[in-house]
Amino acid sequence: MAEAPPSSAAEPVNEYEREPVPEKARLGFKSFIGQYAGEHTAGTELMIGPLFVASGVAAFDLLAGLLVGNLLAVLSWTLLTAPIATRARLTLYFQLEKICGRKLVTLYNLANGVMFCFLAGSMVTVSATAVGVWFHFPMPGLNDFFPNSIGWVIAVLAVGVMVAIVAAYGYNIVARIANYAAPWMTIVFIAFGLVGLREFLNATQTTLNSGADLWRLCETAIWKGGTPLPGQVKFTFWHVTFFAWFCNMAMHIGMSDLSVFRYARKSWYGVATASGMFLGHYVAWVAASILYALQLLRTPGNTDVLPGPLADGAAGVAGLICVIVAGWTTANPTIYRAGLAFQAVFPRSSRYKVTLVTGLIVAVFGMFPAVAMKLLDFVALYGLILMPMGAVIFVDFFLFPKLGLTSFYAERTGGSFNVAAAIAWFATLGIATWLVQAGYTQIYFVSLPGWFIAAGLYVIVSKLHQRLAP
Amino acid sequence: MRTLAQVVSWLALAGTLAPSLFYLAGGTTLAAVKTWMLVCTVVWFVTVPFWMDRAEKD
Repeated sequence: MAEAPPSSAAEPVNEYEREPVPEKARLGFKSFIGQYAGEHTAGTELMIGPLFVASGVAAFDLLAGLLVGNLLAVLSWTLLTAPIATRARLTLYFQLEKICGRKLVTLYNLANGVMFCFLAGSMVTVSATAVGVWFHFPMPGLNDFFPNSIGWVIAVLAVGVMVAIVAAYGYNIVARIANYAAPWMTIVFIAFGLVGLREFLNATQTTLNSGADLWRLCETAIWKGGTPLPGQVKFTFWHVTFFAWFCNMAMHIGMSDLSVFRYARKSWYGVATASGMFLGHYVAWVAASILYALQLLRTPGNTDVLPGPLADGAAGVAGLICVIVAGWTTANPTIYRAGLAFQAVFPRSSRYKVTLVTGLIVAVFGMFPAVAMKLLDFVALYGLILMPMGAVIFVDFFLFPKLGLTSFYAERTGGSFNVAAAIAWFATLGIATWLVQAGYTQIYFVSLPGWFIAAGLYVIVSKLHQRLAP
Repeated sequence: MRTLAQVVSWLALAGTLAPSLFYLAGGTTLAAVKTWMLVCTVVWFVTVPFWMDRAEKD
């Protein structure tokens, strides 16, 4: 998904931060295909696939839901993010600063940085499960919240500290390794699925003579549907669709990838995200879910979601390397960006120091398996928290000129805290929380009405605020 | 040199996938799949720096 990591490891993060990207720096279509394919084949994909199975997903619901959801995600990048990015050509932060003012953007940075830390923590958790295969210490179970062994704590700390140091001092080296690893990781994920499928045929003594035989195996043995495992929410077609659509919500509807697509020559380059959604998310999630379903078939009592042992069983040492590299190469830019977000909050601290401290916080978060084991919920929450600001950017850019309202209000008035944007953000989060807590909807769906609430609030409050302002 | 490295890299990538396809077709063992995947992984990572960086600079 990265996972949903933030922007690519290859993104030139320190260029044109406070000016539009000039013509000479713009990139072609191919750059974005490679970038998104690599970015969305992350270590966390190995958690998400199994968690679908743990949630009792059925074959049609998974395969069709992923198709629709990933398509909606690609359309969101293409029709919402890229058109603004290629017109304004600004980073998310600079564009938000023009709309919201410096103080509100600082709050946004803080929220963004904390979310990045949790996300990177789950990536470190994934990598540490590969270390566990070699050192045989007890690893956390599906419903564990706290670390359950000294070995686990040491492994996560070792991986986390290493990732933190590298993110602070060797960012470019890891960015390069991430580029080298991207095509290979995609292939290893495909291999996971193929090996898992053969193992299923062996375990169920099935012979495939037609497509119908394969579909029967999918429906009756791999993604059987039915009751989810204890502690998990039942996933239907709609859950899968909305999860696939919204798991990168912070990046597309939330507009985080304005910073990426400001380099695109054309707005239709947004379709390049299909490489990440279909090669990465679709294939990787399906493959990882096959391995977990196989584990449940062989040892029904073993519900642990541990990417290390799953990958080891399917591809041996190459699989373990894949788990470590997938977790590491995506945790690295995530920590780096969390560091950048925090540095905006503490501008006097050096970037290296902030990144290092951020990485150490990530290592501590990674020790707690709850984030990784509840990744489906966390990813939905992550999108929800950052989404309202995406709605604010969209409305400010496209609707305000038509409604006769002032765009980039903070910049034009010299303000440092746009009340309308702040109310749109906080009130939306409050209403969304109430909708979920009161049982009207689930966290996986609430961001859809949430976007319209944020957009509506921003228009209404801006109208009042701009009329009353001197 | 660059072309040679590129050819070897792509062969290694194909070699990373091929064992699992053979395994699915029932043509090899899981142990052999794991060994070949590791060998091809090593070859990929050894050869890819010889051309991927240069391609980016071009």
